[in-house]
Amino acid sequence: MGSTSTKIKLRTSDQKVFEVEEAVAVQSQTIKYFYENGCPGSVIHVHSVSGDILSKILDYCKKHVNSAAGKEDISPEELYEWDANFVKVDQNTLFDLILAANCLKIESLLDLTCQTVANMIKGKRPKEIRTTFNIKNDYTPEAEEAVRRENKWAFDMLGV
Amino acid sequence: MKIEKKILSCVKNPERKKKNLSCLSLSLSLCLFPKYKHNLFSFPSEVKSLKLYVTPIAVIAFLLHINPSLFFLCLSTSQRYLFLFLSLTMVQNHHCEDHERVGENKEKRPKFFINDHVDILIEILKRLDGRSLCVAASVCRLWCTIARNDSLWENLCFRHVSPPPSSVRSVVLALGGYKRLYTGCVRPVRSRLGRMRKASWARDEVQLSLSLFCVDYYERLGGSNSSGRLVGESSPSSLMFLCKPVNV
Repeated sequence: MGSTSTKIKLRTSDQKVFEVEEAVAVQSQTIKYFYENGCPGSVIHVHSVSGDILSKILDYCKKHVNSAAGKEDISPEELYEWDANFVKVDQNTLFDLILAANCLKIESLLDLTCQTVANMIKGKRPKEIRTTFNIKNDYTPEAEEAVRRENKWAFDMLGV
Repeated sequence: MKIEKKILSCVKNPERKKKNLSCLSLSLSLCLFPKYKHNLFSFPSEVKSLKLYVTPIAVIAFLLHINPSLFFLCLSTSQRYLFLFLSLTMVQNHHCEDHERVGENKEKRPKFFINDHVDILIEILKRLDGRSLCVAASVCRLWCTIARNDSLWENLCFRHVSPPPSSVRSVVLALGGYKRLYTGCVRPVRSRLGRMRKASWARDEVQLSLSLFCVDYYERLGGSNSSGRLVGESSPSSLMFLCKPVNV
């Protein structure tokens, strides 16, 4: 990696422009693709991501790139803790991060954020899950009972 | 007094605080009431962290370096009403603008609804453990459809084995699918070996689970009387006791 790294310009849905180091930006497979196949020096439009979310995501990528390249002296445990703090956000932001990670194709971030939501589901009863994610129960009572019976062992351990 | 209460509630309302609304104009309107004449600068603490919106009264008062309330007292009755009216109108306008802006925001960014993004929902449910996945099936029909998908269970069965045994797929599917394999064999084996499990054991675990699965299938083929039985609920002669902890 050279001392003067190339910068990539990104424009978000709210027309904010970010100048990002190449190594950080290409963490996103989508940006990497556009960077390698587009005109050099042109601005890459990230239509589906807002400025707030992109700046968060770039923080994440920077941290991980730096720690992988040994620029930042950070132990795996510290990085794990940093990740845990990174996803301590409200639900809307978390889902925005997931959508952005999905569309920018940042595998590790998608994994981190989806795992966070999965942890929110774990150990909860169906009713609590519905409340958490604002989901309507579209089962008839009989159908719900049937599904419940099918997965009886899981409910036994939940103590319901 | 009604107006005073309304203004006070506006100043204290955190919603408005967030939106950097005309709290100063509200505060200044408050100082029109004799009660606040002397402590004007004590209550902007509510608003001091905000970008301030300056009312006509405040502009003039700041220009003249005087206490707005004193300035107000200098005015004739009709002028006082005019200023009061002006400040309140500005508050009102801001209130409307604010509502419009919130509305726009909502249109631009609708609240995320997890069931609208099935691909993401699958990614999330993929990361659950078996028990949570079974419970999740009861949430709604869409979740149930996803939770019944065998590829999720395949992932669960061999998540800890790398590389995952790919050649067994056709066999597993023929013998009843990955969900059955997980609930009937993998889970009991793993919970039984859980305490002493090491990474290198994973392969043996797979072999043991698959062998048990064959036993389970063989026994299901057995009498028609056992066809309705669930996995793991075996008759006394069943070999499925191998799943359960035994005292040797």
